[in-house]
Amino acid sequence: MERPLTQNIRPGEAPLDFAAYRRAGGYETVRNALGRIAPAEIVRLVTESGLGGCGGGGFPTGRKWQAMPGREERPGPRYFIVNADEMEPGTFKDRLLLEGDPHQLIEGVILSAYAVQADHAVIFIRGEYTQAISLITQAIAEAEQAGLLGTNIAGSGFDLAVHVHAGAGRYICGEETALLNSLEGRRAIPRAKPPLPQTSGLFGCPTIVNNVETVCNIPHIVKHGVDWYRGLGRDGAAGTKIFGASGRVKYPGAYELPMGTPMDEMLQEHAGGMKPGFALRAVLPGGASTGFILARDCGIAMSFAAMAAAGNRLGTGTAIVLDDRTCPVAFIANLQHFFARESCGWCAPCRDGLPWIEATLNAIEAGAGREEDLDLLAEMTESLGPGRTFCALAPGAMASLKTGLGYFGEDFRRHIREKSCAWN
Amino acid sequence: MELTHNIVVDGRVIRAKADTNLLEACLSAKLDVPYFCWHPALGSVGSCRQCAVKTFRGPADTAGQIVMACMTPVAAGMRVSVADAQAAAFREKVVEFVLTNHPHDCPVCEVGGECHLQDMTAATGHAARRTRFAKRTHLNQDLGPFIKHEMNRCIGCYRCVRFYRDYAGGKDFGVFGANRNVYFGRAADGALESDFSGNLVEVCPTGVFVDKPFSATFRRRWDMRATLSICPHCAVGCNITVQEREGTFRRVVNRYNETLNGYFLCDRGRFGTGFIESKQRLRASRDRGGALAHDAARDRLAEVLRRDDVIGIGSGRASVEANFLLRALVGPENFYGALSDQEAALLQTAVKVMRGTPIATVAEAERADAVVVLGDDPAMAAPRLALALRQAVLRPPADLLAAREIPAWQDGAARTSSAAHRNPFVIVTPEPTGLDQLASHLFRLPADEIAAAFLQDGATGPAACVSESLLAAENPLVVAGGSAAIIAAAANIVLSLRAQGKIARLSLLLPEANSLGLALLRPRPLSDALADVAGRHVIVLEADLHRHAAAGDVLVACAAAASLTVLDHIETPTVDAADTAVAVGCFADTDGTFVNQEGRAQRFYKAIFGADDPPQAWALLRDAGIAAGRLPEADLPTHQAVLVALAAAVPDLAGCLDASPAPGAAKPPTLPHRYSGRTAAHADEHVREPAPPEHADSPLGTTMEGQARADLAPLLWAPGWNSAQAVNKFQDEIGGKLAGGHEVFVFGRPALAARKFDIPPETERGATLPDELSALSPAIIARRAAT
Repeated sequence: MERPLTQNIRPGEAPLDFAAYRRAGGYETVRNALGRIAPAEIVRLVTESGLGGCGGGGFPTGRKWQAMPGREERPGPRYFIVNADEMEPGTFKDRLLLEGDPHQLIEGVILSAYAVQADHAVIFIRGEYTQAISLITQAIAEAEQAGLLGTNIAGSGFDLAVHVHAGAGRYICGEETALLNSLEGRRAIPRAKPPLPQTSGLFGCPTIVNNVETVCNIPHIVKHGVDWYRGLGRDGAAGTKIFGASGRVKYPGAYELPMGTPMDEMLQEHAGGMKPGFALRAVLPGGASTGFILARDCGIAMSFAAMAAAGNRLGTGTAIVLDDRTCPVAFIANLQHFFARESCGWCAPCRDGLPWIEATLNAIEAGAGREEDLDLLAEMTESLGPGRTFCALAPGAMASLKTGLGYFGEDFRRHIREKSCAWN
Repeated sequence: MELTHNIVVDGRVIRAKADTNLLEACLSAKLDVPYFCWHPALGSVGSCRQCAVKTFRGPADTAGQIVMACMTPVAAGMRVSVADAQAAAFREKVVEFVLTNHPHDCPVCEVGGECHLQDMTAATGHAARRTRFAKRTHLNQDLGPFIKHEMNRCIGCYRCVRFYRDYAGGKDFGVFGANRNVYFGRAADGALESDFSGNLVEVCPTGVFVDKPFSATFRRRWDMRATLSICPHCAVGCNITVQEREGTFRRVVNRYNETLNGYFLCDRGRFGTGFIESKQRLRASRDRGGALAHDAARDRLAEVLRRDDVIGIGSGRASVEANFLLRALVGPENFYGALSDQEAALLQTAVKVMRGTPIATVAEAERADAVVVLGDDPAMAAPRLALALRQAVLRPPADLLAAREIPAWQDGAARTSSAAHRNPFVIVTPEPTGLDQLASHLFRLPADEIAAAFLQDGATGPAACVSESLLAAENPLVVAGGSAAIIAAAANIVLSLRAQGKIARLSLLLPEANSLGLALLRPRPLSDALADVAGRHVIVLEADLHRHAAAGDVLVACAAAASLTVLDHIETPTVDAADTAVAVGCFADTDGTFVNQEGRAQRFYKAIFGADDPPQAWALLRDAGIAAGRLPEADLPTHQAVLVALAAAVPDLAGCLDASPAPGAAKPPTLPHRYSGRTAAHADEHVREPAPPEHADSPLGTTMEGQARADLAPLLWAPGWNSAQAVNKFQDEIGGKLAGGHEVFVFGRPALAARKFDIPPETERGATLPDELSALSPAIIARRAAT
């Protein structure tokens, strides 16, 4: 099984430095592509590859790129931004790529920026990822030294400057337009769409924002082609994906697997199943903003399409496992605590609704719940749902609550009935 | 012709402008759609989620989709439901959300009864609280003498910070924190630094920012008399509403005028009017022997008028009517203005220039696409105009927005996408101005070199820069003040731009609220009066001569004069020097007309009715004139008659008659219908309904009875709309003309001057003095002390 994204990563070992990365065939694609393959051709390759946004949205990367107006149409600065503000609870896949193979990301940045003809790139890294920040900064310096960044890269006439920006610590900065506001020195609040960042992004200029993992896929697609890439996936999906699991599994971690791998296969074969004494109840397939999948439904393929067909989202693909010895009410309350805290405070339903939800869940967990609380919570999942709030934060928060109320309704009612939590 | 679309809202077809959003379209059609974060002057950002409505994709779509009306562009044939049950239920939820932390302290809140949050709560039908958890609370800040801070009331609509920072350019106020803990205030306690901070009171949909001086003498909105008026603190003449109760001034609020001040006032206007309650008010007449009753003072004035050798000195802070009567009594040859030579020359040239140059209204200035300021600081001389200039300079160009497919009303996107953009803004002044930070080109030239700099066509320097900036624009604006030469040079720039096909306009910075009205009475300059005063009897009308002439000259002249009679409503050094000081009403106690710097004649009305009000200056002059035999008996029986005589005698000021509504049989009320406590207020003495004040000279009534007229309505109110936002219901469209609005410009639309204006010689410049009246307001004094 090919693992292009993690091929250079050896657990416990330092990442490849520039020389080692070159020896492993790195940056060859940059030299072969820049000035030789038309930018539009790379956009075509990425479009046909079926690569989707790996930050959780799954939006086709090629289509995102196509929406960028051309240089002639919109002269002036153009930006390519890497979203490395990985703050989704339970998600650590980008950290693996940032710390494990920094040059792979830089190579992806060069090729992606070339494809969209951006002259400036910014890697927006979660502030707490201090090791990643230093590794990426070092990789940029090495690439500059080698003439792979800067002006007239590899004699192609293409210029690119890459900057690293350390985030100041808000979950909402992972939302691409809030990220742009933060980069501009404004408050990290999402912007209205339209306009899309492609037409009015950083400082009003054409801008692409892509997730770390998405960008890391680009060199491999350009190098090996569309057919190869599509062939990596299972069940009609394309490429590989870094999946992961946290919770009471034997080997929590991140694993690069074919896109479309069934959830139970990952949990059993790669995460090693549950720890002794714990039974699987459900999983959140891709971070805190996705809906629960019950143990019995874990045969589902982990792909954007399959998850969407089941009314759920793949999200980041790093699963949080709920076991039978953890109270689902407390589990959900903890998630809502996170979202209530990380709400940027811009729109009313999110800002004022999430704390209300959190307080209600805490009351239920503490044995002070009321029968009508369940109706209220159910109603909240609508009021804070898609289209009601300004951005996707609150709807994401509602995914676990809505599915949790459905799947664990009896547990909620028992808390209220018995005025206590049976898990305590 | 503007492109319009038909859209269907709940089965009713409405016409909507194509370049607007659904919320504005619905509100323009007088449909009720609740909102918080949208503001007609601030545009849409979509943060509050209150204006949720349903749109349908086509005839077959029955489910529809909930959208925010303020963020949804109008499209032809669009089908919309405001009444949709799901949308209505969501709107109620939004109110419920924002009320989770609201203190429900309406009974002790100054905004109770005129609160947009109360209105929206009622509109959505939200009636019962369901949360049982602790509210988040905040500490308040001391924001200075103007604004009281009550952060617990905040519902997080972000209007305050959008107005203060984005619209008005303030830097010392912002939003802090995140999640439910967002905080709108300053980094530390301290007086708000913006000159427009008072607008927070009206911009806030609830009671977070309260008018602090008003709070100290607070009455409910419906328990105050409200009267339309004109701000007396500069020559812009913003429209205001003065509110009083029991003869005590309470507050000033904005009176919407779409071509002038729109939705906003400056702090000088809002808080300067506190001078009415200042200890420096002259409320009783006196002579060197002591106090004089009002009648005795009138007789004393009549005595002076019986003499042969009488001269009158009018002023730019007195009304046209009072100045006109003084001139009529002493004769035009003996009528002077309290004007320094520089002011006199400036006003003379202003009159000449305005007869042949297109003058910009404030609203037109706001739409300019290139601005040049010559000679004076608009931020000092005309703050509300300066606020308009800021919008002109920062307005994103249409082509930039089009390239990004951003509608102009989508405020957040428009601002972020054009953050680096500035329309050309050239400032050429002797001193730093409050707008320097916005300037694209800044020139510091001595005042007497500015006009000269535009006489020669140099390839460099300010003249080249100005012509390059203005020729690249379509609607360039030249703002000028400071001297006669500068405004003549500015007018010539406008004329040559017109000759090159540009829709160029001029805006003049004039010294006082009624400077132009005075100038049109052709007064002689003060220096002539002072030189020729020996042995003559001098009557000064509402002026402190020390502000317009050297102190030594004034003292010598006062000593040489046979007598000095000063009519005023404030204590001044000139009043101190008077043989007879005659108390007269200020703008809020009188009927009158000001002509502003645009040439706009604007009527104000007696707004405050106290127990022993001093007489109105014009009426006092008339009565004394009749007593002295200078006017025929029973001449000019009414204010209206004065205006008729004025129009006949001074055709330039005929517009004042047109600007004054003819008194009708059924006068519009000035008391709201719910004006309460009338019999209880003096219950310690009696419980009679007090007799309404008698006041024949105003077209407005003094009671709650009468025939309401939108253009003279004391307060704009519509069912369900108790806040200032009720103005939506009285405009022809959002941001459009107010129903019944009637504008009069004394020069009408003048034809372009056939040839350029001569540049008069430069005169010596006096120091620029702060506005005389607002400087007496306790709040303004406290604010000055706070810096």
